[in-house]
Amino acid sequence: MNKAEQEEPKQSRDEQYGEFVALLARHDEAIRRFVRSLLPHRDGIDDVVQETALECWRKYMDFTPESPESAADEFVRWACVIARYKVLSWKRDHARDRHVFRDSVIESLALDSMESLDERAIEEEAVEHCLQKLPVDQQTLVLSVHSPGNSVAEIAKKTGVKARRMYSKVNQLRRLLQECIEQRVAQESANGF
Amino acid sequence: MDSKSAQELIYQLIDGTISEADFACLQDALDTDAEVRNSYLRAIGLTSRLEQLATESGAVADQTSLTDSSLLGSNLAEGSAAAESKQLGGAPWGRPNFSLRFLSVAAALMLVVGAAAFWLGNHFAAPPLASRVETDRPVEEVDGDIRDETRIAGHATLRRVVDLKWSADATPFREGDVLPNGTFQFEEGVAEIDFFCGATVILEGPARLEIESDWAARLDSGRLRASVPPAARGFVISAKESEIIDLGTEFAVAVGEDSARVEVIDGEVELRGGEHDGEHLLTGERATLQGPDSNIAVTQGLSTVSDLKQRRQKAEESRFDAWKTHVHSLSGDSRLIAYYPIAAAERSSKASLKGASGRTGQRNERRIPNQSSHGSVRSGTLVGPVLQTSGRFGAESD
Repeated sequence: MNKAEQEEPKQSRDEQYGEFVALLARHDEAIRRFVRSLLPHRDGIDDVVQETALECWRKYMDFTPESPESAADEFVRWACVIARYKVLSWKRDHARDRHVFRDSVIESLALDSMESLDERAIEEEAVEHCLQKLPVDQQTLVLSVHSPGNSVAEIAKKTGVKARRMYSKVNQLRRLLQECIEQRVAQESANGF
Repeated sequence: MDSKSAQELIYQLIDGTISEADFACLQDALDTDAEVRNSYLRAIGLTSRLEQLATESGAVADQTSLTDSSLLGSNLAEGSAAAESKQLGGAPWGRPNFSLRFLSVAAALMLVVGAAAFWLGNHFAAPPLASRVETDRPVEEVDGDIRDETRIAGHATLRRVVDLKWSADATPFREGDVLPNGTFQFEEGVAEIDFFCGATVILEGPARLEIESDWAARLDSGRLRASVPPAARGFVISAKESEIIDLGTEFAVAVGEDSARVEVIDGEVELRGGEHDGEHLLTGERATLQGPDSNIAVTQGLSTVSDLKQRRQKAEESRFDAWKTHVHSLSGDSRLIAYYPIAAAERSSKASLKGASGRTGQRNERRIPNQSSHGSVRSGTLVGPVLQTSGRFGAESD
């Protein structure tokens, strides 16, 4: 901040809040994606994201971007650092619940995840397109196993199919989707995306 | 670790079927191999996007929607331009979140900081606009348990009860109710409880169960049989000073005033706390957690799911019999001058071929004879649109 800015009245709390909310709203998806990448099961994501948002607000005064242009990028990184702490403390509270990564894995994943947020966003956009290339009943199948309260085992039960066969089928569909996504991403970048 | 088996393990982790050993292996790979981390992040990305789409569309496969060809080989349609074009533009497949958030931002700017912090907490708990509409769910799902963990304040569903008598000061639940954190207690009968983690517990009264979470409960007294599918491994029942952790698939626990015993019906459990801390029990093995040893099987007299179904059916049959008897007695009741049992209509339309009612054929379906033996009122006729429906007891009481 230069002298002229220092002499101006300090930013009011309201203004600060407005700025904060704008940044948070814009990057909520990225932060959520980051948190999700550290928790293999979807439990806890909402809690961690909420905790992260609250903590980010509490610490917002410490957030000092280099410049207005870089503020957005820096905000995401800054928020992700806070999110990582929140994942670790959630993990400590839920270590016994299900498979939770050890700290070193979370650290390594966090670094890679932060670097690849943009790539993930592009891949994510390709999912719908690729899903729609499947025949309708298989789309339903894939969506079912991912819908809240369901799982591959649960859908196998509901449809009267042997679990092992269902896992095999769903994994095949996952492979197909991922190949399609990779192709599409490659295409888009070739097209100068 | 070659890339193919890493991929397998990653999905096993996501599906919850990974073994302890494989999980340790996968973590080592994630620590050291950037390729594996990349595969993992892609898989999670795909999975979480599918989860979002699934929530928005509310589609659930059942026996009718799955055809034989669904399970055979598949490949992605080449150049399905039709699929691409119009469908993607529409609301359910787009991203409604963004515009909602813009509106929220504008509104939030008006708020004072205190109220704003409250709003912030709520905003991040709120689901996307187009999702989680319960009416989208097909009927089949309602019959099972509702496991949307982030919304429902409870940990299990009461699936079925047979001959149940509630304790005086206990909360009386009904079949289908979501059971909250807390005490579940009854004097007599049997209850089948589906925990949200996937485990099913059959509890024989008199019993008292403390429901602690989606994954855990404490048996204060009574007997239970727990059935735990692979995805719910880790389900815990506490008894006295110990914890019984299920590693798949079925075990029984009996707790009395001064005693507690566990027996593995199938699979394996791990015990923690007490004198058996750290032990693993396998199929057929038993342990006494407190009190005297006993040769009587923990499972003796414990119901299974099919037992419950049978008992339920018997209970319903005897209720139906009682109803039938009452119905018959009505015809003889001298106070009743008109009684038109609808089910009799069909029967009488056939009988009237030789009877006195005059018209035959289709029209007679709407004529219901007065079954009361004491009335002189004539047969009634159904007027207006009337549909045959199932009665309380199913087809027999239509």
